[in-house]
Amino acid sequence: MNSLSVAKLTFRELLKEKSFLGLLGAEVFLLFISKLISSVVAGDTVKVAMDFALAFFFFTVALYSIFASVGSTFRDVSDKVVYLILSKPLKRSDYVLGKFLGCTGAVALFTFLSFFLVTSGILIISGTANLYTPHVVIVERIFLLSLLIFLMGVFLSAFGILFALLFTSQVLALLSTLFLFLSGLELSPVREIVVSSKYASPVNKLIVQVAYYFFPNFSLFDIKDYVVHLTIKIAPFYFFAVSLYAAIYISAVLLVATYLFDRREL
Amino acid sequence: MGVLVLKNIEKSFKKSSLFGLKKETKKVLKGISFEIFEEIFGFIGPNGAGKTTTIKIILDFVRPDSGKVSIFGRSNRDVSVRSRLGFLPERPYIYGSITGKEYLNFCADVYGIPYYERRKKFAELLELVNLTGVEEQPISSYSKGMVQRLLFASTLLNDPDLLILDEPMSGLDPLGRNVIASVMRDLKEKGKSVFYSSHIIQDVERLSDRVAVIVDGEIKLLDSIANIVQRFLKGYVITVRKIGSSNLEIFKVGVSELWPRLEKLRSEGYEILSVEPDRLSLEEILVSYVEKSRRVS
Repeated sequence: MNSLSVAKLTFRELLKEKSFLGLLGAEVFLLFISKLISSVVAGDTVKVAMDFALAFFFFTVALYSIFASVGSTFRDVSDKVVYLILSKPLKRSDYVLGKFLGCTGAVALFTFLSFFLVTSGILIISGTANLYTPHVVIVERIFLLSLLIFLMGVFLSAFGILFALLFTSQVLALLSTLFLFLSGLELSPVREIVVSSKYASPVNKLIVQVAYYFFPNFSLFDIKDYVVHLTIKIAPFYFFAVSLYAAIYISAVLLVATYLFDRREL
Repeated sequence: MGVLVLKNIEKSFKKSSLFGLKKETKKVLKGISFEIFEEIFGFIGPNGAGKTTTIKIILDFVRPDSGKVSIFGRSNRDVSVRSRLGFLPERPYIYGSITGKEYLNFCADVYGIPYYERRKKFAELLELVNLTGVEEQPISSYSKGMVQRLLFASTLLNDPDLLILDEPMSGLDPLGRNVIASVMRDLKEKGKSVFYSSHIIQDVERLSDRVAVIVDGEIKLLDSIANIVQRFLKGYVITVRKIGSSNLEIFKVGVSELWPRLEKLRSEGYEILSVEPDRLSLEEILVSYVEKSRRVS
């Protein structure tokens, strides 16, 4: 119950932060950019606009999750808000869980609003496009992508909290989470290249394999192609498997964060 | 048994120097022990003496190298003891984006105070710290003193049996200081305990039942204000006036000379107007301990 109190406080704090509305504003701006870019290319302009808009959606939620979780948690420790919170009948694990739930709530709302903005934008672009063969937009697919983006945001929040509690520099915590996100996006293609390469040594192949299984794989949450190319199909089990993967990984990250925070001197 | 008991608390911090290659250990608390009962207990010392570290250890923010802390007879690591405790840190800060009421609601949530009790309780506390009417405004619009008073009010929400305050008076105007002082006295009247550190020695002297002086991580003096006054009494200052004259005369006498001197003055036709103890102030006592400690080191 006590972690819910921390979650409520964190959620309220994050919603009133300038970054929340600022990044949503950026989302609208990027939709215009997507429309602009699509208007200068030949072919299916809606497809190009969707490609860009969904990529911006993906990265904006990722950035918001990283900034919100690292910023909020790091501020708590550096500005000594944790003294006020932990002097109350709360365990440190309640605090970590509460912080995570609060960030999850904020990421959920941010993703939902982004979904609304992006879907409206795409529908407007598609409705006003002058195409010989109209591009069909399936909102349900955008919604499924949003769910996975939300999961990725929650995943990143867990890492953001871990790094914010682990490091004594906010910049380091931010960069580490960002690095983890970018490497998690690129690990899958890198692995494919290295493993199938004739020139990579067995040691290098092993290192890449270990890194692939150790680091979180954020490319699993990126199903933009499924939304844009209607011929691509994804089995329902995929969503279940990705959710399970995220749930297990997030639990492990939160356990590590709690373990470290419990031993940290404040 | 005391409400708060510290037994042989030792704590050292590692300090990196030479780009982190060489690590030095600095002992900041050297076997601190004291016990607090239902009283107002002042904890004074110069900067870096170990006051805040002691408070952090009491609240389990920092773990001691050795020694034990118990609150209400239980370990300080037992989270349940904190439901009977209130704490205000030094230079407290809370998110500027939330309102005062939202913060009070958070505290009430943690303490499990039902919603129907909150309105009355919030109103009482806000009135106590002169913040009525601003609770719906974001904390960023509050002055530093207002934030401190709001957070002080929040420490009273659970009707604590032990209040721990780290420099509660610093950054407050005389009005704010007076509010905190009167709440501390009220709590003591109700049989509760207040443990606080302060730089403002006059406040400590006027408020505390007992005082501990910490210098370089060691308790140098621990006694009641009454005993300290007695212990550091140099003599008395007698103010007299010759009967029929308007000129005042002042005499300083030693402790043992008071009564014979008073008798003598009376027999010489003086009217005794006042007798005041001539003693070292708490500030002078603190300074003397600090200087003694520096000479030794």
